Amino acid sequence: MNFNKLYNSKQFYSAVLFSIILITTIGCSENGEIQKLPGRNYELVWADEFDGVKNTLPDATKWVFDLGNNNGWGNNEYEVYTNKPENVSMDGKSNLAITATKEPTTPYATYYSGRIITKGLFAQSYGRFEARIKLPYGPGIWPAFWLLGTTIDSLDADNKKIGWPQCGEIDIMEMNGSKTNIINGTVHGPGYSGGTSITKGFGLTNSRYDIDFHIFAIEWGKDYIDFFVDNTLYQRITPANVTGEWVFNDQPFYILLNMAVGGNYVTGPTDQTVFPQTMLVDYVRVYKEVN
Amino acid sequence: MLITSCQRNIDELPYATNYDTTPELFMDGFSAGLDYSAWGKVTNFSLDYNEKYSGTASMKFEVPNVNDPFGTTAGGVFQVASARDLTSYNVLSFWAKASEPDTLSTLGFGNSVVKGVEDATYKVTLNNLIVTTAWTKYYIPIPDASKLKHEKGMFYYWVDPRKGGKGFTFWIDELKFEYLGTIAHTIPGDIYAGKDQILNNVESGDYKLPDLTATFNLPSGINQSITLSSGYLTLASSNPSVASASKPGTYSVLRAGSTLITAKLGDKSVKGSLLVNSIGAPQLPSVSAPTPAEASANVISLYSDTYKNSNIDSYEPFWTWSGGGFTTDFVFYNLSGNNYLRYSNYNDTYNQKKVLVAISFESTPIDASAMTHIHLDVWVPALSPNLTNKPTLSLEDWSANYGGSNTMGVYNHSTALPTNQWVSLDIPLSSFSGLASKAHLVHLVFDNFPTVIYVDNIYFHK
Repeated sequence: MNFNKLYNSKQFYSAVLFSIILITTIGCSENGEIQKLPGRNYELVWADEFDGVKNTLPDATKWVFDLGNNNGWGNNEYEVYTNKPENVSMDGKSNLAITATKEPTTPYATYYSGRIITKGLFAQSYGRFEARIKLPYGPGIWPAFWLLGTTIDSLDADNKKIGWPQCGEIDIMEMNGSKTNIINGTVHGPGYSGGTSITKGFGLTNSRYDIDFHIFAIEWGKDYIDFFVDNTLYQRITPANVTGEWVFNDQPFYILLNMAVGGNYVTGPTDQTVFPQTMLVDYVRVYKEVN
Repeated sequence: MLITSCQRNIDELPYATNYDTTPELFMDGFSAGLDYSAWGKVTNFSLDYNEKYSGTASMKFEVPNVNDPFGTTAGGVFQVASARDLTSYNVLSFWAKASEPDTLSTLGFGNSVVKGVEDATYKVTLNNLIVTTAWTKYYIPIPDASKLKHEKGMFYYWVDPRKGGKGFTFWIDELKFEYLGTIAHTIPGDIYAGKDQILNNVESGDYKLPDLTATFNLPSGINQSITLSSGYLTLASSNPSVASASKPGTYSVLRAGSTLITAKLGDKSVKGSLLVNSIGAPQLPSVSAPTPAEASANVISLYSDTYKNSNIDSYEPFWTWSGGGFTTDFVFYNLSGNNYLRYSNYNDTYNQKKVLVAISFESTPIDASAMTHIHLDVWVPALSPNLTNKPTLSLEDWSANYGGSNTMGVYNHSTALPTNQWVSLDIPLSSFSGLASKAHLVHLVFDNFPTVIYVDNIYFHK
């Protein structure tokens, strides 16, 4: 891997070549606490900058579509995922646009949206996963940038599917659109999934996530996952924090980007939810730690 | 050597002001300089030291029952005598709860009353806010705070009983202006229904754009609409020599020609525009109306140079049709020593809403029992933005005890009035259908007239 690549990326990655002392506020506090993190060196191994022509679909060498409703994707979600440009495409301004639309069907409205994943094309264990995203908003809107363990479809020693949550899930960012200034970072695993997942929110002071881009990232190594918003570490999860087996060591995970409409996390959209809603993703980048 | 980085755009210089920037209105007591006047039931407002969101006190408002003899609404305005600079805030926020879940009809800011005259230049209204029995924070966004460099109207409310006319109580606490980065996605509503309105034959003068709505997204991700005065709009004219932006929300037509008026709310373009085709100076009657020939003894005059006029309260009391909100402009005109009345209203044409004009003599009702006709001379300019020209006249009688058994008589003129000439209308009072009595007449109402009319010699006769 070419180290020069680090410096050619369009957003200079400030966590590179750390002599890291980040001076930022933590959470919503304004007391100017100083974060001291261990130095970590990363090199870029995978990225999509979404520089394609407007209305074109995502790069098929990097992403595949999840389609349909799949019985609510396990969360009673309302949306139907499509592979149409109106739901998933390049915006022509160097962003991926995932757009949720509402069709006035009877007796209930139909919601269309997008979900793209790197399953079968790219997966990695450990490293830094980051995306720069401008989020959508509104009741029932549930955007996410997240990882699933590739063992989800594997068979265990008894020839039974390992499945979820044993495969592990890392939600680098998910948001309830009726809380426009808060995102959550979360892990799910055996004994700590769904409502008992290990999670923490990060709120913006006097701003919201749908008016500007923010960088959402994890730095993941053996026995730890650190969660960042805009290079502020707001949560570290270790085996001591989870109420079950730690399934995140030496397991490759693949990437998912989606916007759900409705579902257990957010409840349904209301008449006051503004459609269409768009999540803009400037880039997704994955780094490996080097020393 | 270029030092561009040290140059400043003059528009970016801070606004020099000594105006008070205090954001608080009521926390546990009133901020300095805040005055209160009540509307409706005047005792509706008090302080409450038991119910409060935080601190030691809240504002308590008692909405009366619909049949309360002391007033059937709770209303009031909080204003400051010395204007405040609100340019650094973007929302008026407060916490509120009610004795039962109910609807607060009207809340807002940006209007004040000084010596009986309302200034609503920067009025903002939030309608039909639903409140519950739990303290909840509510928001009334400022459409464009840069306009509020010196504002006196801090807060007002006007709440009717809703559920079966049953009164209720609501409380407000922590009422203050603030800047919230969590209010986002301003979407201005349309003007002229989002269309490009063409307005022909516009006379020189000042014209105010209609009020509009705007939508803001609240921290909870839901949209909230408010109604705002057109004073918040920044107007642009494609041909400033024909018309230019003048007072807030107003453009001044200066001379004949065409110009396109467009509007922005902050940096957002407003959908809809107005193409003004102006004739410049107004068309005026070139001659006086015919001099009436009736004997004075046979006449009761409302307006004439020939006869002694009855005691008239107003030649334009600025009534509006319900939901209309627009009134005419009115002036006395003098032409070669002869006076006449000039009524004009361009808002009528803009909004396609009915506007009425009334001559009111409530203080001294007229007994026209012995009279047989009403006469008036009307001059309609041929160049008018609106030639809806089959007028309706109405007479209202209030009976002996002022309002005991009112009747309204209506006369519809069946043909369009000729233009650019004095037309004498002599209408039998028996043609005012529905008028049960003419012994206590109090109003003469003009309706369905064109945008501009000149009127003279209005009198009853026999």
